[in-house]
Amino acid sequence: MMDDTKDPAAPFAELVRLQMDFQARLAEETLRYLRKLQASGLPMTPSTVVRGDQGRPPIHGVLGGTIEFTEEIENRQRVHAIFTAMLTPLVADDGTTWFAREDPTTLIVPPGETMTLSMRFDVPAELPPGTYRGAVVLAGLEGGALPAAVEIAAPPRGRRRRNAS
Amino acid sequence: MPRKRIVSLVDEEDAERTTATLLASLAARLATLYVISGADAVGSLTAGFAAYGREVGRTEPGARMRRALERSRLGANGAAIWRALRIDEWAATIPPTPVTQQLRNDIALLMADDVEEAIEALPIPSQPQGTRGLPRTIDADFVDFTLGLWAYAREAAYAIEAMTERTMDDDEVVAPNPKEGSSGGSILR
Repeated sequence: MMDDTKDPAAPFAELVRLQMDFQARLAEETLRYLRKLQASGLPMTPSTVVRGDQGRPPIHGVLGGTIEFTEEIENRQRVHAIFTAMLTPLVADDGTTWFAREDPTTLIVPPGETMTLSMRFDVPAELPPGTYRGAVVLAGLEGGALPAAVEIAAPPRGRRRRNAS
Repeated sequence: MPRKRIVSLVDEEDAERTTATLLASLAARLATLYVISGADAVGSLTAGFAAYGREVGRTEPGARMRRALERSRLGANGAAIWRALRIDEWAATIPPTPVTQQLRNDIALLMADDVEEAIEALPIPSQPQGTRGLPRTIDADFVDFTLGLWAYAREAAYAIEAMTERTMDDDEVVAPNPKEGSSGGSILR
């Protein structure tokens, strides 16, 4: 095996390698910047912003039951507004994460009208009681995360939990 | 009585969503295709789906789909092809197209009742993206891209079904019209 320390060209080889790496990185970053500049000349896409109350009282649920998240959505734009709402995983203070099963809900709200967004999901019978926090996300919209909290009370004493099917 | 909470959907500052601005934005998008390369257009769409997929992946249905994709052959093969063809590096250098917002704008345009007036007003100038600063690029991976495509396709299918709901035939049996006479039993009519 050749000893690099005795090769008089080794420091230059390393210098050339560093230079090549630098030039390659510089070219990549320049290309990225130029593409961004090019994109800044492209037409803007008008979009929708979500405004509203951020504070919401928790929804109360019981083990094995069903809870419903509802929200009045008003379209103040002059054309139809379309969005798809999805629930994030809900996390309790102790770290328990509840992946509440709910398919995405899409709504088309005509201009100047108000529609009710309604999402129903089952509470697993084995879920530890507590307050679970997350958000209903109106995907793709700026400010589209609506806080959601669900309070699951402990079952009354002497009452048996229903088994999840 | 508790105050009714309402969430409002409003316009961005300086960028109203009206039939005219949506039509102008669509026309400008089409005009842009003449000045950019196919690689840039497809790369930007790829990055756009990946950006939407990344957002959807933070939700419960998105995370569930993401886990399923990662465990499936689709995810493994897709990721391998993605890396081998260096699609991730390519898409990461191009600012993502706001695919979902464009879909929503196009649907809103199709549902508007004043499209003819807006068409008569063409050409309508469109605002360039540059007024809002340089767009961001993202790391586009295969699973994010597929997830974005899934969520996009669901919304597109829902919107098309909603738009055609009132005009959709729901007859299961269609009887022949007696005034048109019999076909005579021949397939050569």
